[in-house]
This record gives sequence, C-alpha cells and structure tokens, in this order.
Amino acid sequence: MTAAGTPAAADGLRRWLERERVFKWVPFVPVQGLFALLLLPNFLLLVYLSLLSWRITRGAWWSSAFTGLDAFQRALEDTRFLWALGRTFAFAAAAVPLELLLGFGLALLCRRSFHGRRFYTSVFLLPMMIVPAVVGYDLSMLLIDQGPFNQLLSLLTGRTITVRWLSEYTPAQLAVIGADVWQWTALAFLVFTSGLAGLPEEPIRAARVMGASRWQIFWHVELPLLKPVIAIAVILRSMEALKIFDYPMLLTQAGPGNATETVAVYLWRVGWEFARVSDAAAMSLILLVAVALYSLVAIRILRRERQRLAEEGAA
Amino acid sequence: MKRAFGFLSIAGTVALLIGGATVASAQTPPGATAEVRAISGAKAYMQAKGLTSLKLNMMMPSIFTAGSTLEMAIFEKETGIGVNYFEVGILQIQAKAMSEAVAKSGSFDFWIGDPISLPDLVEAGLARPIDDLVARGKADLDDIVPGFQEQARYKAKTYGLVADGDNFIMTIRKDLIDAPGEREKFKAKYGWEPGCPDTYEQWYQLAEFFTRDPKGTGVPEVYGAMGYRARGWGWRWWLQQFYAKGGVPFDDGMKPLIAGKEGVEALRDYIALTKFMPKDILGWATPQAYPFYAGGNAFSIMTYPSIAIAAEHPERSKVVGRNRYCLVPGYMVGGKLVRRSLQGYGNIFYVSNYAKHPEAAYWLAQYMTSKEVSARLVAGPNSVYDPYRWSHLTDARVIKARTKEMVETHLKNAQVMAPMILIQGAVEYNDVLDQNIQEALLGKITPEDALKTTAAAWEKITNQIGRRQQIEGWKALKPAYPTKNVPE
Repeated sequence: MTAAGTPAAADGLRRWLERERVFKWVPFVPVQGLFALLLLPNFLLLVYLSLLSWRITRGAWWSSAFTGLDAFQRALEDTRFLWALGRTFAFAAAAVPLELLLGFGLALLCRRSFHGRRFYTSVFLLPMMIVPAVVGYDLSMLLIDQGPFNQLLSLLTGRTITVRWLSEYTPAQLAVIGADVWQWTALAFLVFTSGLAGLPEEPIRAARVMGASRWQIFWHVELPLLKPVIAIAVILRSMEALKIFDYPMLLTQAGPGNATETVAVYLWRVGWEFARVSDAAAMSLILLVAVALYSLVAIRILRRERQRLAEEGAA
Repeated sequence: MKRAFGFLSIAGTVALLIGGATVASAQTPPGATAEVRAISGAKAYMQAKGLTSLKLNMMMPSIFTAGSTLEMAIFEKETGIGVNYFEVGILQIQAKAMSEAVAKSGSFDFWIGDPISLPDLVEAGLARPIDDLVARGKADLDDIVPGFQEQARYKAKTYGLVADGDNFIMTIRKDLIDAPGEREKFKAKYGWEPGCPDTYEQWYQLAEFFTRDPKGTGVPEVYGAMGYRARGWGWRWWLQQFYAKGGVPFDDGMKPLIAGKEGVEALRDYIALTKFMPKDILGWATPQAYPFYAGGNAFSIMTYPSIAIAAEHPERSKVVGRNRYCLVPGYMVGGKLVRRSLQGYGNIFYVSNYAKHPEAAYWLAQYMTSKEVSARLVAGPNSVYDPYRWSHLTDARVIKARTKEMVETHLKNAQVMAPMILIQGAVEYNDVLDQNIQEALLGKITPEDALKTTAAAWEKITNQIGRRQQIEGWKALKPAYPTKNVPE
C-alpha cells in the first residue's frame, strides 16, 4: 500500500506544481517567506517603536507610553539630524560620481587584453575586499598631519604639506569622501567591467562599418548601451554611500565638531548612546522614506532607458 | 505514622543541609587580604557549581587589555576562572552596554567602563548592585582615597569596584626650565619664577615662552602645551577649567549655568591655549598624545596620570627624569585660588545583571582591585591604571614606575577632584557640550554661542528625561564635588 501510494502522491504533487498558476508563484514563496520572517517583524517593530516614547532607561518597550507622531515631530525639529541627513546626501553626491568615473576609467583600461591584465584587475578589486573598519583605522594613522600621506604629498609637490586631514572641517570631510572613493571604486569597476563585457557586438560592428571613429562608437553606441548598467551602479553605490558609518567614526569620531557626522552615526548615537530608541526609530523611518524616494527616481530612469533601448532595438 | 515521621525527618535534614549550605556560601571567604579572599571565594564558587574551569566573558576598552591580562592569568591559574576578552573602542563602551541592556543576552558577565555611563546603565537595568558581594568579600575600600569609589555609586548603591584614579595631572619639562638662561629670560618677561603654574594664565605664559620654532616653519620643535581637544575627549578639559572658575553646571532646578561668565571665560582660555598645541590636536587622544610628549616634543601636558608611565618609560621615553609633576592650575575666584582636577575617565569594574556567573565575575573584580594586585597593575609597564589608594603612595613598585613626586602630587590633586556630570543622560549632555566646544575651537561659532546652544540642548535633554528625576540625580551628585579650593 505504502509503496504504491508514494509514487502516486509524488506524481500528484508534480502535476500540481506544473500548473501554470501554481508554478509562477513557486519562486516567490521562499523570498516572501524570508521577507515575512526576517524583515517584516523588524520593520513593524520599528514602526511601533517610533510611535512610543521609549528610552532604554525607562523599562521595557512594551510598557512605554504611546505618543503618536511625537518622535517624528522631534526628529524633524532636530537640526542636528537634518544636518546629518543633508551632509550624508552631500557625501554621497561627491563620492559616488567620483567612484563611477574612476571605476569606469579603470574598466575601460582593463577592457582590452594586455600583459598583466588579470593582475591589475585583481589589484583594482582588492580594496573592496577589506573590512571598512580596517580601512578607517589604517587611514586614521596615514592621515595624521605629519603622517605618511602628507609626507608623500610633500615629496610630490616639493613643498611641506601639513594638511590637517582629521582635525579641520573641510579636509576631514574630504578624508571621509576619499576613504569611500578608495574602497568602493572597486565595486564600480566590477560593475562596469561586467557591463562592458556584455555589450552586444552587432551595433558596434555596424557603426565601425559605417566609418564611425573610436570616440563616436564609444559616445554614440557603447555609452547609451551602458546606461542601464550605469543606473544600477548609481543605485547600488548611492544606497551604500548613504549608510556611511565606519570612516567618520574611525577617522574623526564624526568630528571635528560635527563636520563628518553622517546620519548613520547620528542614528547610532541617538539609539545606543543616548538611549532614545523611539527617536532613533522615527529618524530611521524618515531616512528610509528619503532613500526610497531617491531609489524610485533612479529606478524610473533605469526603466525608461531600458524601454528606450528596447524600442530602438525593435526599430 | 512511623512512615510520616521518617519522611519529615529526611525533609528536615535536607532543609537543614540546604540552609547550612546557603549560610556557608554567604559567609566571608577565608583570607587575610582582599585578593586572598577573592581567590577563596572564587574557589568556593567553582566547588559549589561543580566546575573545574570557567571562562567569563568580559567587555573592556582595548587600551586596557595589555595592562590587565597578566593578573587575570594569575587569577585563572589559582581559581580556574579565566576571561574571554571582548574588546571595544574606549568611547564605544556605553553603546555596547546599552545594546546588551536591551538584548539581555548575557553575552558578557562584567565589563570595565567609566563612571559617565553608570546612571544610564543602572536605569537600563544592566548594572548589578554589588553591595552584598562587597560585604561578603570585604573588599578593601577603606584604603581608597576619598572621591574615587564614590563614582561607582548611584542612588545609594554600589555598582562597581574602582580600579583607576584618573583625575588630571599637570606635567612640565623641568629640564627645559633649568636650561641655561631660561629662568632669567622667563622671569624678565613675565615677572615670576617659572615652574608649576598656579593659574591657567601662568600656564599660558609658560606655553607661550617654551614653544620653540627657531626656523619659523610653523611646526615648532617643542610645543608649549598639550591637552586633549579631540571629539569625545575635549569637553573634559574645558569642564575642569569651568569648575576651577567656580562654575557649576546646573542650578537646583536643573537650569544650565554653563553659558554664564565662568563658562565663556573658561572656553576662551581653553581655545587660546590650543594655539601652543600640535596642529592636529583636534584629532588626538591618549595613543597620540603620550608618545608625543614622551618623545620630547612638548613642554607641558595636562592629562591622565598614566602619562608618567609613558614619560618615565626607560626604553620608550626621551624625557625620563626630566619631568616635574604639578598640581593642576586654577583660577583666582574672589581673591582665592581655586584648583580643580577632573576625574576624567576612571575605570570601574561593573557586573552585569544578565551575567551567567555574576559572583565569579565579582571575585575577579575584587582580586584585580585589591591593595596588592592594584599596586602591581598600576606599576605595570603597559598600565593605564592610575594610583587611587593610600597604599600606592608608599608602594615601592608604584614609585619606581611613576616617581614619588608624581604619586604624591596625583593624590594631592585628588583632594580637589571634581566628578564629570554623572546623572542620567550624561553621555548625551556631554556629547552636545563636546560638539559645541569643537565648533568654537574651529572658529565656526563664538564661545558664547557654543555654550548658549549647549545650554538650550541641555534643557531639552532634561525635559525629555524628566526634570524631577534629574533634579534628584543632580542633588545626589553634589556631595561628590570638592569642598577644598587647594590641596593641603
């Protein structure tokens, strides 16, 4: 009975899975399951906490008073939070284009076959594999005013350079941006290397046959084809850059003053140093909305480009 | 009936045995000294639990590991109780401890931290009161210089054992003063014999005179002064000056008083002195400042007493025997000199409420902070623990490592030792202060605005936490402030 029943049951399951309306949902089940299990409860808890007035020093969160949108109001009135938010977007706006430009340049350099190409590719990817905290710590030693970085600059320029990278406003901000660029150009390089390798041959060959110069092919054919890849790189790097934490903490303790206090650092301070968890939760949600809006715009641009390319291909 | 009687007899015997065991375990462990009692207590604990070896989890600032491991290894050899270190950055202790207060995971049994975080960590339920264990182990608290152990107390309970006397000390280079012709030149210019400064004005004059930039490069060969100005640290140095001005952070209703005349003048002086410090000083703390001074690059430094370990280190220091340890300078207030030495960090062993082995953690803490072991720790070559016991004054090992002059001066400074602002929300109050002081240092805002902005932020913090509660906390802290203006 059992031996005969098992194949029949398995057969039935297979046939059920093969049904169109069942099969199309199969890939979503684990994803949605994981989302429901791991992310959704945390998110809902975050939303709930943002509606309370909980401090860690005031007992358990479930006994904390419900105060509606007070924490959001406090967050929006907190100039330090707003400055940190603005500063973070400014850092991302400075770091991401630099990373993309450098990454793209390096990808173009490594596009053609040459002796040692693999070695250089590995070297360019190396910074990405280092733990950001290690990068921050190492740079904090390299960037002291009489340290190796200024010595190198002095050697190159023939003048005594004593820039205070860690203790003056603008240099400290540049140091944080520089650390991000040094480490994450590698990711842009990786994305662009894959993008360039995946470019279709036909349009390039056609342009060449029609007498286009190398520059014209790059500008009018390759670059437009790469737009979706560029958009992906922008979205990926921007979202990461908006979470910047390690470099300001390790380089300057988010100082001098508040010169390098990013929103991630401030959120950490509010939540874990100042024990104001509800305020930190409200600020996190405001940040989430800001990042989501930014991502939506970027994704819309990406979609539009894809559609345009598809239409051009069809034409 | 007979069976019932038999049952009662057995139950009674068991009850007596359990009761007896409880009484035995609550007795003071044998031993003439605190460290021996700690070892006995730890052994008894292991026996009672049926353990032969045990690893406690401990959170500690990474800067203290090197100076602590040797003694902990001795304790492990004696008792079987060892330690897994969970090292964190010195300024990240509060955040890590707070996350444990929420998680209640028991991920560490005890930790070393400063007094600033204590009120918050008690209110968050993490710090365990240890009065019962202190009484049982008879920790030798009587030998501690007044003012230190009090920092481990909150709302009339003891939460930790102090391991470090971290009130600031002033160190100057006597060899530079005694160099031919220097005394005369200085006296001719400023009208007083150069030496330990009595006032901040005198320190300024010394710093100005001894800043040496013979080539005029803007990078002096010797900097006149050093103190901490980095984010997370600099506010402490201002607070000491503010106290010496006669300043009080709050009135009885918790209204901030820092933006008054005392605060602004102290901040102006604090900023003015910075021009004689290394240009990168806004990013420096102990790891940069100690080697810099010990390398002979500065004339004076106001810092933690462990500067003596660096300055008198036979191999690493270029200024061994050339230092003079001074009472902290002060200000003339109402015609009288007022000196204040801030207890600017001060390591304390705390036991977690969620510890898996709180008693074992306590015995290790008692061992580490006992008269004998603390002297060894203070005298150790990698130590950043500073003298805090009367017995350290006469301990030959401590004197050899630090010099007699240093130990005596340090403990004299303790007579005018003032605490940091140790009330609930202390980390937030201090962070806002620190941020605004740095903004003023950078010239982004005026000293007046820096302190006004801080005062306004302090009001908000007080209101958020609850004014009544904060008034109580402030009232309880007040007795910790010194009554003497100058040490005897």
